[in-house]
Order: sequence, then C-alpha cells, then structure tokens
Amino acid sequence: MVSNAIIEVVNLTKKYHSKKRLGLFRTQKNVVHALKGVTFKVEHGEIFGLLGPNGAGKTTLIKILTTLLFPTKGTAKVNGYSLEQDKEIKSSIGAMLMGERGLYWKLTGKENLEYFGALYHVPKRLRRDRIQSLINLLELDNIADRTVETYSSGQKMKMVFARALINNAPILMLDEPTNTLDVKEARRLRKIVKEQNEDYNKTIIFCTHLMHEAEELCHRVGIIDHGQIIALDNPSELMNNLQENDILSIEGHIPEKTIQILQDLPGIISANILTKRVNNGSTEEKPYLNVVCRDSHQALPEIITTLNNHGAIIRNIDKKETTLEDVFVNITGRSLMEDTRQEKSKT
Amino acid sequence: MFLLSSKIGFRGHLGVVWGTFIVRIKTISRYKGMLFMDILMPILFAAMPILLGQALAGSISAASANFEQNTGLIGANYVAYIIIGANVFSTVTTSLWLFGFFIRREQTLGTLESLFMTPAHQIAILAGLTLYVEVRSIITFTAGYFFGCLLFNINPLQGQSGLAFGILLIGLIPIYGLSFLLGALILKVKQANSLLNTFQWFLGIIMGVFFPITVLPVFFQICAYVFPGFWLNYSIQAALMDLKWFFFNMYGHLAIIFAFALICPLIGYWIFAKAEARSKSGEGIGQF
Repeated sequence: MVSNAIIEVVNLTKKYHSKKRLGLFRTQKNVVHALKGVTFKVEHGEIFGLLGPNGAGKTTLIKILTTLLFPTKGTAKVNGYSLEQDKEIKSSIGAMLMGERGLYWKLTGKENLEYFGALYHVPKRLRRDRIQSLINLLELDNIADRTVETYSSGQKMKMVFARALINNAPILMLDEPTNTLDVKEARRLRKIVKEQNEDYNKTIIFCTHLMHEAEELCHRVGIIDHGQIIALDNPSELMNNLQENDILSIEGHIPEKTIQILQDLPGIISANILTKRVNNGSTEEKPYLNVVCRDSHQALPEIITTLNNHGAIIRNIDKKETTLEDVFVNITGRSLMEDTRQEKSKT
Repeated sequence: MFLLSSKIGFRGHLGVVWGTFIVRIKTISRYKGMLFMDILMPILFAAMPILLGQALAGSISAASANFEQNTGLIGANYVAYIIIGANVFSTVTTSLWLFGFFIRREQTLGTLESLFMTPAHQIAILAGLTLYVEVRSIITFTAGYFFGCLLFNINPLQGQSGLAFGILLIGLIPIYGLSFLLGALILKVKQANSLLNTFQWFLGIIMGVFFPITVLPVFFQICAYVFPGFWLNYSIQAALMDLKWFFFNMYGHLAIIFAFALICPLIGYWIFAKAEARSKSGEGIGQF
C-alpha cells in the first residue's frame, strides 16, 4: 500500500530529569519518561486526534514535532523533513501550544498577528489581507485593536488560534485549542478547524482530553496514556471493537465496596465509577456506575440483586452507546475525565 | 494562497529584524516611565559621589584637585568623569538587563516558545532586539549626559564628542555579546534578577565608573582589562575629557574595542546556542 503520510513518527522516546523538592533545600532528581516509543503516521489531509488525559505526553509529542524539544530516541518526519531540518518544519506548521499564553500583552491583537506574520516571513503585501480575513473569520474585530492584556481567556485563546493560521501552513498542530472557551465558542472553533481541513485540505493534529471533540472531528484517533499510544484507529472502529460487549450506566447511590463484588460476577468485564455531565448545558458532573458486560440481559438481574444486597439505591439504568471514553476505560481501567481532573488538582 | 517557502531571502530576514525592532519600540512606548527612569537614574547615581566629594573637600574645585592628585588623571574634572562613568555604566547595565530580562520575561509569558516555533532565525530576532537596545541606549545616554552636565554646570560638548559617540556605537556591540552569554546562563539557572543584580555591581567596580581602575587591587585590574565595558567607559572619558589614553593611544583603544566587538558576539551567540540545544534536550526552553 502506498503511504501518503505527511507526518511519520517512529519509536519516539523522550526522557528528561526533573527535580522533586524535599523541604527547604533538599531535592531529588527524577527521570520523567514523557514518551515511550511512540510510533504512528498521519496521512495527508487527515485530522488526527491525540486523545489522552493531562500529563499523558500529548504536548511533549507536539513540542518534538514542532522542534521545540529534541527526542531522546527515535525519529520523525514532518512534511518530508527530518527533525534536524527545523526551519523547513517550522515553515510547514501552524501551531497552537500552551493555551492562551504566547502573546505579547502590551501589543494589540492585530500588532501580535502583524509581528508573527513577519516572523513566519509572510510577505507584507499578503500579511494585511490575511490578518483581516482571520479577524473576520474568528470574529475578532471588536478586540483586534485592544492590547492583549485587556482580553478574557477565551479571547486570548482565539487570538492564539488566529496566530496559528497566520502562515497558512499545510499542517496545523493544535494542543487543546478549546480550553477556556465557552461551549458556543468551542463549537465555533471546531467548525473552523473542520473547514480548514475540508476546504483547504490541511492536515491537522488535534490534541484533546475531551472525547466528544475527538469523536466529532477526527478521522483517526490515537489514544495516548503514560507516554504510549495504547490504541489507534478511526473513532467508529475503536468503538465497534467494544460493541461486542454491552455497557450499562447505573445512576444512584452506589457504595464503593460493591464495585469489586460486581467485577467478580460471571459475565462482567469491568465495573467503574465514572462521572458524566449533567444534561442541562452546565459544567456540573455526576457520578455513575459504568458496567461493561458480555450480555446485559443475562447479567442485569444479578447486578441489581448484588447492588440491592449491598445497600445501593438505584435511580436509573441505561444501556449506553459506546464512546471513546469507554474505549479508554476498557484499555486502562481508568476514566479519562477522572485522570484529567486529578492532574489539574495536582497542578 | 500563500506558497510555502523554506528559502528565506535577505528581505525576509530584514523583515524579522525590523518587526522585532518595531515591536520593542511599541512596547516601550506603552511603558513611558521606563525611558524617564533610564535618563534620570545615571544623574542620580552620579550626584551621590559628586556631592560626597564636595562635602569632603569643601568645594567642587577642591574635590577635583584632590581627584587629579590622587588618581594621576591630569586635567580630569571629577564631576564630568563621574557623569560620563555613570551614564556609560547605566547604558551597559541596561543592555545587560534588556537581553537577560528579555529571555526570562519571554519565558514566563510563553512568547519565547512562540518565537522558537517560527522559522525566523534567532540571529535576525537578536539583531532586531540589538538595534532597539542600541537606539534606546544612545537616546538615554545622550539625554542623561547632557542633563547631568547642565545640572552640574559642565560644558557637555568639551573634548571630541564625535569620537566619543563613535566609541559608544561600536563599544556597545561586545556588551551585547556578553548579554547573549548572560541569556544562556539565565536559560540554565532561571534566576535573572539575582544574576543580573550581582553581575552589574561587580561590573560597576571594574568599569572604573567613579574612579580609575588603577586604584583597584591587581586582581580587579586584570578583570577590568578583559571586560569590554572598562575600555568603552575609559575611552569615552578620554575622548570627552582629553585624558591620556590608557593603552598607547586612541588607535590602540579603538583596536581593542573593535576586537571585542568581533569576538564577544560570536562567543556569546555560540554559548547561547549551546544552552538552547541543552534546554531542548531537557524540558525545553519555555520551562520556567
């Protein structure tokens, strides 16, 4: 089969030393294995999702592909250039890293775009038109002439996204681009990402910890965890692989001790407490019991009896549609949302 | 559609230099107090030892006579000597701060990684920054020197002003080289404030700001000879006050300054590039 890969990553490994503080003066050196032999290809014109919790290695991977970091081992090619050809790679990429950071606060949004346009060697005669079209595209006209220090987080994020598009590069690398955006703006940004792919045939690496974003946008998804790609396929295939099993969502008061007991029942593959958004548009989340079993019709009476015998109060039982979250849970035994939340609370 | 091109011509690099210069000018125009501080600081810095000299000797002319007699600098007006020294010192430390602090500030803002993500050559970015620092230094040096002279009743146009201006232009180049070196150190240890503060006061002593370095112990004199700031300072003092040239004659001094101007930026950039590569092998240049 002829490969049309625009990005090729082979056995990429990244280790670095970090210091652990032990009180006032003592420190301990730790080796962090940020990436452990990552290998994948991204085809030309593809939206490739990197889905994983915070700290999984997504940003490290993007930083290596944008030549901000050297890998410890392994190779990669971006747009046909090896990582040593950093100038050529940088010219091929529009990148959005580090969230809303990376703008000059004392400059206006337009001045920032003007400067980055110069740094990307966009000819001056094209630069002004490009900036104006980006301002129109992202609806930034009412803030473009204000200094960045006066922007909200979401506005900064949109301006950083505009900066990633300034050089009209064939490859976009977007690291959690919808962070800090409200629901409406995040949806709009995803629509623009899709347009960039469909209308301009741009290849996009889209890092996210939000499964619905990956499901909605990506042609293929690499699930990354602890520096390793643990699953890689298109979202529907990943979910289909799980569909031979049934997934039950049980809401109510579920005592912790029942989880292990459920896991020991015949026909039960896994049982975990996960959380999901309350379905009213708010950011509030509620816990539920997620049970993966071979045949829900057979297993359900036993599950209900076990729960009742151990003091659970069941409010609702649903047979769930499989999501990428379930794929992640099935492979790692952990919840993506839970991992991300724990990582955030650590920082 | 913009065509992707990795072959960047001279105009492209010039665009980066000019863009960086303009961005810095726009930024400083939004911190107006900083320019005012740059001009005022060397005057206040010079006023303290000048007034101390006057208080100890009884008058400025008596202090000046003491200064001539004790330092061997025949014809040196100590007020002019200190005003020039304070302004050169301020210019040198401002240059070191601007580069060193630039690295650190860009690191914490996240813009350092943004800069490194672009295909712009670091040398073009550094050249734009250097141009800005040079323009800012010349404006603040000239303004500070003239105001200082007027305040202490000294003719600012004495001696060879054109030569002094030329020495300032060339003599700042090796300082920028040293500042790249300092930038490399800051990438490594990430403590811009303590590093720069310590460094600048040590430089103040070996530059001969308030006194000629001949009054220093031998070790400090040797340090001064290998520091371009000393040659910059003394050469400007000699040009403006018609002092005896320290090393042979004017041409001897110019040769040393030119040599430093060639060597220091190369060494500074080389070390900076090494530090950058080391950072990239670790947690990255944006880690702060």
